[in-house]
Amino acid sequence: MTHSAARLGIGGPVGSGKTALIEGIVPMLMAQGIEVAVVTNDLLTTEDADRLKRKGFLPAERVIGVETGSCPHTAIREDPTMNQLAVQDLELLFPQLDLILIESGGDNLASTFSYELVDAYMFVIDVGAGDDIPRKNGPGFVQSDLAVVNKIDIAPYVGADLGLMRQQATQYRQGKPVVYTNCKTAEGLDEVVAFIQETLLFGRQMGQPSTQPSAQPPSTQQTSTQQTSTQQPAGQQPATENLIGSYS
Amino acid sequence: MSDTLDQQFVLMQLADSFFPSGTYTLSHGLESLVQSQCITNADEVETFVRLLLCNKIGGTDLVALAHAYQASADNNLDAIADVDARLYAQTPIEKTRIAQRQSGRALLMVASKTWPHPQLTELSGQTAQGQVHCLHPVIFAVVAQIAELEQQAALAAFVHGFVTGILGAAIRLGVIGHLQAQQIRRAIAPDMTAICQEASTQPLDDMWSCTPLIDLAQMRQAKLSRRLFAS
Repeated sequence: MTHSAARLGIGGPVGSGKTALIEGIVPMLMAQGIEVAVVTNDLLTTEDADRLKRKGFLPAERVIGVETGSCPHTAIREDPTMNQLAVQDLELLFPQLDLILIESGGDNLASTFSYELVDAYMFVIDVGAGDDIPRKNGPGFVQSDLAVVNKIDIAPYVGADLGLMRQQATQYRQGKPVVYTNCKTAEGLDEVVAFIQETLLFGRQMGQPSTQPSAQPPSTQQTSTQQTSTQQPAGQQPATENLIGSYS
Repeated sequence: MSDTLDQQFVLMQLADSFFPSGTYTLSHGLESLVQSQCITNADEVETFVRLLLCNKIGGTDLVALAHAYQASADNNLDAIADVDARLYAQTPIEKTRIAQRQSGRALLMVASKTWPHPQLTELSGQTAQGQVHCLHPVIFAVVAQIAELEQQAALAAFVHGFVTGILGAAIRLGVIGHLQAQQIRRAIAPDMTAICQEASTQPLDDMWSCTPLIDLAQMRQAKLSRRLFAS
């Protein structure tokens, strides 16, 4: 399938800060000239999509909510077709897109993305959920291309040992990158953006060398995604009334 | 012997809820009826499924499926587009049309990679250009025909997938348990058989449906502020 935009999945448990992370990094990406859109899979409502739209930094038509029938992991792994259609529709309507973020509904630590849906994915956990999360060896946390440990500011108040988390996250992820963030203050978000630039956008529009040598390409598939990033997919004008209006 | 077994395995592949076409995101109005407490128990779920099958799916989707199957067997793409347009006209609820189209597109996307065929390529192009609506029962018929299922097997596979999808939705909505789902599935088997047999004999012009309360529920689905399902 021809596609033009890089696709980045964002998974993680309920309340870990996936939407807050998107709210933080999208303006930073846009400031670098990156054209972004978001597909969100909130489990219960279109609240996440509405929240992103209300923030006003993305035009409302660039945020699509996709219902997942109470199966958030199915929608990103076993049967990601509804998300794929949303991505296709966004690409047809906005051929200039560089990056599409696909936010999973909150799920458990075993939640992983299909690489037939995304080129890479991040997994967000929060310090408040317990400092034992890294050593639980959950596939989502361990296998993701970037692990984000969010809400580091609350560690002292919830009795979490951040030093232990750092040590065990590194150990269990076997060298794959981990970033520590506080989405409220934007602490650490520059590292997330650097990861996206290096892994998916190849320094596009920034024109600067990588600052994060530890980040590894997550899959061989991604290398094909950016070559045509500003080109309209071959073909005709999309029948727009049949596309984005499909989602509410 | 081996031909029969081959066909049975194709039938199972297409009918299986494991087959990715996004149908797990659909409740066909059930979510709205559960939220408004019109449906609260297993008996009511059974009635709901039976009504949908006998008063809607059997008279519209399955008739369209049977005709689209024949059109595909005749390699008549114009006739496939005609069936698609007629079914679209028989589906007045916007949310339902959108759901039919989305799962049709998903099925077409997956089937094109699984059973590559010129008819599927052509339908993909026509869909992208807005020349066909790409409704799920129509695409299902073409895919089943290409995969060499008999027409009756195609109808059975579609109905099985439909019922399994709704019962799965009912479990996730909390109105039935896993045992009740199997009991309902068994109880409605005669209805499933009957609508498959009738559909293949009906002319396209005789498509009909009559489920006013379910129609209203499907319309309300689009307005639910909290929902799990796309329909």
